Amino acid sequence: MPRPVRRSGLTMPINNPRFVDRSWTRDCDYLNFDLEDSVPQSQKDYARSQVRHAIVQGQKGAAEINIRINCAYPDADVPAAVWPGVNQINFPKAETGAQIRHLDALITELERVRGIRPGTVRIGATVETTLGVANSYEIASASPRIDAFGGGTGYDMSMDMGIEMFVGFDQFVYNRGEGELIALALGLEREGGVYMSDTTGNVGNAELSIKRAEASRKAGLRTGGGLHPNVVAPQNLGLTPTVNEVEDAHRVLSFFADLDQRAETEGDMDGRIVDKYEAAKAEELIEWASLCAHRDAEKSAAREQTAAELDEQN
Amino acid sequence: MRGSVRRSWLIVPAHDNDRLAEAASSNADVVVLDLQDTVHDSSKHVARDNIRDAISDMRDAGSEVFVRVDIELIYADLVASVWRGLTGIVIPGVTNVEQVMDADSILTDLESQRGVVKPPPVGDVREADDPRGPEQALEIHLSLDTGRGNWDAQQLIKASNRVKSISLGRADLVMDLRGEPSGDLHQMEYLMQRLIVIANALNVEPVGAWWRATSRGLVAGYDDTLQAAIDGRMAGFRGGLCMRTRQVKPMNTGYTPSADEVSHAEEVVAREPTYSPMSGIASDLIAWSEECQNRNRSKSIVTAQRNQ
Repeated sequence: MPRPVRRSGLTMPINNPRFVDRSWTRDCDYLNFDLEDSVPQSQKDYARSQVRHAIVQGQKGAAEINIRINCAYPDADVPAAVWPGVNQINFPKAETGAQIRHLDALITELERVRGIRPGTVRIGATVETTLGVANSYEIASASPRIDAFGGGTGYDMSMDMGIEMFVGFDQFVYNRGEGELIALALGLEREGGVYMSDTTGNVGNAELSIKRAEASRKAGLRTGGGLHPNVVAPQNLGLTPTVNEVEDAHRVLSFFADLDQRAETEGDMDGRIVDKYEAAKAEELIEWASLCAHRDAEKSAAREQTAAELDEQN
Repeated sequence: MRGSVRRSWLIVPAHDNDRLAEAASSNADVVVLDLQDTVHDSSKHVARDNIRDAISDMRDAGSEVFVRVDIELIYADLVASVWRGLTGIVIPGVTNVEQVMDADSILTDLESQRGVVKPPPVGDVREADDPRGPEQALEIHLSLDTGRGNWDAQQLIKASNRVKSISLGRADLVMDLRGEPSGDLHQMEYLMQRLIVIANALNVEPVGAWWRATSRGLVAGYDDTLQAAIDGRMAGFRGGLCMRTRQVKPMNTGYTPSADEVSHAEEVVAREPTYSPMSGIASDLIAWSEECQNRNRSKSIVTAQRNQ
């Protein structure tokens, strides 16, 4: 299976048709339809009934479909969430490996019953509490359906730690480090981003979003996501390698191939040391750029087709 | 853990005679003869053939000698390396306990077959063939440059009594951790602090320097290396790895307390009661400074003997 491209994604309440019905127009790599925090308790049953409609809406723009369930009642949410077309079930406030194993078992049974190829539906385990941070390794290694992992940050994490958010320095150094190290140890995609000072908490800040995405790309991170449509384009752009970077990566590979032919292990290219690690980085960047281009074409074609179909109907 | 003074660990490709000659006059506390990354597969046999003489040459130049092995070729590399004068081996890319135990076992066999023991500190008058005790076992330095190796650091250290020091090695390159706008390497602060905490908890020496993203770490210039060594010492390291002879001097300098620091520490010791933490820290700094001076003198004596 090729490496998933998840540069941008919007989390939205699944019970709000204004958001869901326009979700396909957002150019998101993935959509995270929410049954959890953004849905009031009185609307949970209705929200569960909207999953199949949301899948159809999201797929019009070729976005991957994620469903965020409630950690407190997976047995009610998962049967409503696992349908053909769903790529991932997101499990918030994960605190133990047992929770994830239970979720895996529920998904496995639903894949069997609903004719979904085994292992299709991934699990996104989100750590948002201190207990979750302490049990991160157990959580991340609890299911082969987990292919990405990151450290606990965000509103719920702040609340659990009893600290203010947006204070102008990184309060989650340990959480981020722990989460990323675990991802590296388990061979998972690293989730999260480079910390950038933010004292406003404005979730629609496009300028900050592009800076953060570019910094994350340069630091080797590849995933994004958010709450406001304003951040989608900056994340798609910022997490995609530039043309110059791709050209440079090709030069590095060519330079290293020459070195290797001369039985040398490192050399100086325009003042930079090139060795097998730089060559590996260059290879990764070229492959990532290609995946991004493919993903962009896929989304663009889907949106054009949907727009054409809507025109015909009108 | 407090052992030998090892401020500069110079990695040198073992197949390259020019670089070996440079290393012999580099004044490095430790020379790491490399059989791994800096040696092309087609030159491995040349590098292995050079090891025995190179150990002797570096030892004569006043350096302790380690060999960095290729974990996939560890048996052949150790057979080529376990000779009189060797202090230990550096194992990079280690990811499981069995690898460490395997290295320990091969070392034990070779020590026995060849009558090799870890040599005494440079300049020490003890004979190397004194009755063998645990302290004379060849050392293992674990270069925890992978995510898995870092995560399992405690188990890996406990896998062999020979493990006396650990480092992140080329973790930024191996794990693809690149620079942030702040100038720091992504996640390296976390990884360095984790390494220092684990090393001290298990009584092994943490080796490393506080490299910035722009300095290109093990091949950095003088100023960047000096700053990385000074910051590294402040963070809890006592020595760092490097790959250029030009880095040895700033490593040795940065990891040695300055005259001002020693003078300040002496004032603190004179002023503070002996039970105060400030006095304890200051005393440690003075002791470390003296050990560094002793190490410098030992090297001078050994190299003077060689030149006679």
